[in-house]
Amino acid sequence: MIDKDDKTVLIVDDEQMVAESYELYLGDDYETIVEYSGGAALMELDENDIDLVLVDRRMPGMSGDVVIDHIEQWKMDIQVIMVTAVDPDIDIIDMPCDGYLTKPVSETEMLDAVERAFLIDYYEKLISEYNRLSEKYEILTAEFSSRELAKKDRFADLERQIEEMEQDIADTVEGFSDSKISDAFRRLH
Amino acid sequence: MNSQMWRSTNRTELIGPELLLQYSYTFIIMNNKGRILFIGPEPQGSVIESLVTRTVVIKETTAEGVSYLTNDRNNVDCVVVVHDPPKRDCMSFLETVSSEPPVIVAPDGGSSKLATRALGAGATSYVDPAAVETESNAVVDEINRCLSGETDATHESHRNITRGKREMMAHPDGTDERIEKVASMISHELRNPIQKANSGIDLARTECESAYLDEVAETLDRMDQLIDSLLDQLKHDVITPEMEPVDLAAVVDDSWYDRTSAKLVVESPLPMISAEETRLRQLLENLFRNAVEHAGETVTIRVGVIEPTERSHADDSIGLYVADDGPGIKPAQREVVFEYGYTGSEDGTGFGLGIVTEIIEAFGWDIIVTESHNGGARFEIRGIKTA
Repeated sequence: MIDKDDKTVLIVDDEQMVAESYELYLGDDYETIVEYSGGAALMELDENDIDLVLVDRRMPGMSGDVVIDHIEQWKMDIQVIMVTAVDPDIDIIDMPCDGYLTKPVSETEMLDAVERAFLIDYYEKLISEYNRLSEKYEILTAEFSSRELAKKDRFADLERQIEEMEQDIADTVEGFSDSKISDAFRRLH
Repeated sequence: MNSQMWRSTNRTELIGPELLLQYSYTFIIMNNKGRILFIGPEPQGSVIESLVTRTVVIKETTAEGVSYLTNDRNNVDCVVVVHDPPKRDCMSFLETVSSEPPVIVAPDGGSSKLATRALGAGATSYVDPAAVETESNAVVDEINRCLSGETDATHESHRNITRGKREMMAHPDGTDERIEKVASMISHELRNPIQKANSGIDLARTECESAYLDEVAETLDRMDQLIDSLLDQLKHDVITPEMEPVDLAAVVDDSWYDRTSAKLVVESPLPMISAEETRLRQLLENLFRNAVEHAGETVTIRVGVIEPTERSHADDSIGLYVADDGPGIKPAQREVVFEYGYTGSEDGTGFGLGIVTEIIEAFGWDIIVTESHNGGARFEIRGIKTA
């Protein structure tokens, strides 16, 4: 499962007090870095390994929209949560972000959103790996008889790996506190 | 209903002057004569000119712009004013031409006190450079929209914002771009300070314990709820529900918030009904919140189907009750509790049950409030069609 201590969250908000409060909310569980402008955030992204960006949408100078567009263009494997005082509109469909929080944001809401974003990221990586292993399993079972495969330890390892991943996927889906998301995942499986 | 809308709109007005918005451009739309008057730096005006098909007259200062407009008003379609006081002061400009046709304000996303004042002075629209990639293109888009007449329909509603929200709905589809913009402004300019204040409280709590901090936090929470209600009213003036089969049990479950020690008891199986899910959830959330606000955080709320009467059998509808074990509502107040602005609680906003009533009416249902078996309030909703 996810090791929170290994995760680094970049907090970007031009209001220093707001950014510091986010740091307070997340500091116990994650490594945090705080920046107060979009430009400084991009430099931070360039220089450090960031796992998740929590970015204010409206900031003087470079807005949060521009920051996340850069993350998208640079094809960075980073979870992005937009935090804004503006209610979400239909344009969020095209917004390259994994979460959207409307201010004011409580500690619980922020922790939930960050945890959910990491969980989704973890789930996606699991599925990708699972599909990769399943593909190999299909190829091998088409090529060899079950009797032949039973003699191969590496194949037994593969089967065990797939079984463990299925359990991990199921556990991850259960980990989504939001019932709608977990329901959606259950429907997929 | 109109009188209720008046009340809610008046609340908006009370908040409006306190909004802090900043803008960089002001547009004034004139009759379709051909020229655009740009009051701002020459290079900026030249960029605009290169992007539009009309003649752009560039004036460096507000005084020059006003003078040009005074002498050659009939040849100007649209005025763009860059706000860069004292050389270019859009407020001064607006005050001078305040009796003219529609004005559009463009905030730049930073400090925005001026934009609110400009809106009050008759501005029509605005450009927010913080929210656009290319400022000049955004200005040109706005000019084109103005010249195509898109904003004409909303102008009068803008001018008459004090007349009530229903009168502001200028478009046939019931939406009003300006209402959206005002809602966005309110949202941004009020929620940001609340976030900042909440952040300050949480940071202060790491240094000291104080009951005052708790009180301030509660007050901010109330303000946040009030803003939510206000925005909801601004954005959803006329409810036109799209009724479809909805799982009532699931919506009741979704609507319940477990941030308090309040308890929800569903006393009977809840059927599939015909409703609009989003609005139904809003209705139930308001009823549940109302119960917690009036009966306290240890309230027990009971929900169940009202046994069909002969009449309801005949029209194939059911009833639903939401009852609590709080102090109840006195008979004399059972009518007025549904009006906007009425609140029987220090924590109440006066919006919750008003919104409930609007949704109930839009759904074609009825609601009454009576007394629960243990003296609390019992809301009975009738006329619900099963699906």
